[in-house]
Amino acid sequence: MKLENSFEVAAPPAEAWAVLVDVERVAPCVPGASLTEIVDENAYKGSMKVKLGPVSLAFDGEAKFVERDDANFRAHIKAEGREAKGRGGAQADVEFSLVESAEGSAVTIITDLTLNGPVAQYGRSQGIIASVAEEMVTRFADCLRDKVLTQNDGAAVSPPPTGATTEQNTSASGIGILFGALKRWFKNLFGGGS
Amino acid sequence: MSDRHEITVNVNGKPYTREVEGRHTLADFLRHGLELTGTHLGCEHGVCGACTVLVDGKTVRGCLMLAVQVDGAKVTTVEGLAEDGELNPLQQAFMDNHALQCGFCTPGMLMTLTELLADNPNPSEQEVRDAISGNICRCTGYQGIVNAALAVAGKQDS
Amino acid sequence: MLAEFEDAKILAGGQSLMPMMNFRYVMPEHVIDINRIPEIAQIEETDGGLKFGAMVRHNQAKDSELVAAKCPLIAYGLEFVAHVQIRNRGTIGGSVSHLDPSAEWPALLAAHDAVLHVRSKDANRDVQIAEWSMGFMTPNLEEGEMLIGISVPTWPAGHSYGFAELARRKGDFALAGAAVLLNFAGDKIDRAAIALTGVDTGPVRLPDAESLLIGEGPSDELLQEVASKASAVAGIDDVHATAAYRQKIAVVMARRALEQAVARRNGKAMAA
Repeated sequence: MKLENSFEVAAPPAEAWAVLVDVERVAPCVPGASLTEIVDENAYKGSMKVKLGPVSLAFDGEAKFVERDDANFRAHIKAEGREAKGRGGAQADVEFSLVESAEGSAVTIITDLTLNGPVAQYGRSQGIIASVAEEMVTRFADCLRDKVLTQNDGAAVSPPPTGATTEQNTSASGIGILFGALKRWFKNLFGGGS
Repeated sequence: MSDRHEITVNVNGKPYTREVEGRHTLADFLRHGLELTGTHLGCEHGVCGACTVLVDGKTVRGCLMLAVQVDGAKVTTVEGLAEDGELNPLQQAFMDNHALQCGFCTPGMLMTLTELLADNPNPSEQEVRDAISGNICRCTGYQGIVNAALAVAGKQDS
Repeated sequence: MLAEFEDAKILAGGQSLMPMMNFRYVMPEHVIDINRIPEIAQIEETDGGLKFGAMVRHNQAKDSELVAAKCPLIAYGLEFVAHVQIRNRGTIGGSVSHLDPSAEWPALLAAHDAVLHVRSKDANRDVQIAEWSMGFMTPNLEEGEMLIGISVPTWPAGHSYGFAELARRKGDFALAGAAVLLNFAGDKIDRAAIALTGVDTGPVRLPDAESLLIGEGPSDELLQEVASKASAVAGIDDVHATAAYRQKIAVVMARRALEQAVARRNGKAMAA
């Protein structure tokens, strides 16, 4: 499943990029995510909680930078996770790129997502997952803008402690994300057709 | 917190005290815990009715209740219908009206009709069909079952 | 307990939760059984309405004389819920919290503009039925919150009602359904409510259609015109039916429910 998402932030490319690749700093902005271990400068272990209606899913896995071009603001991350209760797994191949824009910087995220096992079949999976991804990116971007980049004017902002588990945004896996995502998905799905 | 629970339940007039796990369904408890295998498992998700039993006089899906939930309750299964080793009137009517072939749905059908006839001793054919709408039969085409219920209804003193 | 345990599910009637658990679709760490709390299993008359505790069983409401007298639409609509065995255990709170798009309760409650009472360990809040659905099977409940009761404002004595749904077999999930309440002042309708189920992620009221009825006598043409507004719903595409089919069926069900309500007004009983 291919997902394409994008957002803009009011910061010049070099600054925005430095923040984006600082995984410890941005992990708290990923809804439902927890960073559990920093393996090395390119690899991280963590977990992600997502709720689809009555079903709560929890994925444990790792993500690593397989390619990183800081000069041209591009990166390629491979992430892999298994559902904690054996309901399958997810693999994501994510390409991040950043270009200068009128607002400051425009970030594009292209994800190639593969689901296997029961999670791949859950109900109306296809459309819902795209919507949840879209909503997650929107919240991620909002969080970046409101919490991370606003503190970026020279002043030191202490990142979360290295190696410690950061429990973030567990409520993000609840109503907020789902409401927005599903509302949008249903509107899109039915707005055009009939 | 231990997941084992002690329950005391009256099944077909006899009290049983057993230890069950929180996750055991009522149907599995009856079949494996008490070896009362008359209650059958068809779909295990509440649509076929093969696991229908009475709990405190009301029909329920045995596969959709947990054993722990019948602690202190009175359960009636198909094994509790016969009176002194003799088929009760509903069971006899099933025999007389060819209301069973493979017999898999039969215990569930009997329990559902037992509740119907207790609440409504003289149901119409439509009421019988509505009552058994939650019990699936693959063999008989239902007519024999409906006939059996109506035969008993006709004979009961209201 | 909800506040204390993470990944806990409430076990009410169990008629939706248990199937999901049997399928290993839902695998909570903890299950909290609320079947032994009599305080939330009552139907009470209040000033202006009825209050249903969340643990009121479908059959308990369906067979209640109080409900038949004050909210006859509910007593009738509940005959369409699943089968007797499900109705003996299933609860209003469970149905409304699970929020299957085809459930009958949400539409019955939407027609009455019901108010839902939500409680967490430290707080209470009320939610209007119109604000209850947040999306696919997602009610307006935060972590640690539970629905404990529903207040249903009653319509004037003698009001008329209708309910119709289309399901492949009796007791199956409806492809689409309509609940109607009508109140007459003389020959004219002075109040109307039409609520649909099966066509969106929550019950859908039709305010434009309802306003067409006000002040009018119920002619066939008017009922048809009003019912046709039901096609404006989103619809749901799934293995059972397309969204387009559901939109069509919604119109037919709305018309049937309206006709029933009119017939009841005229003193005739109508088949579904």
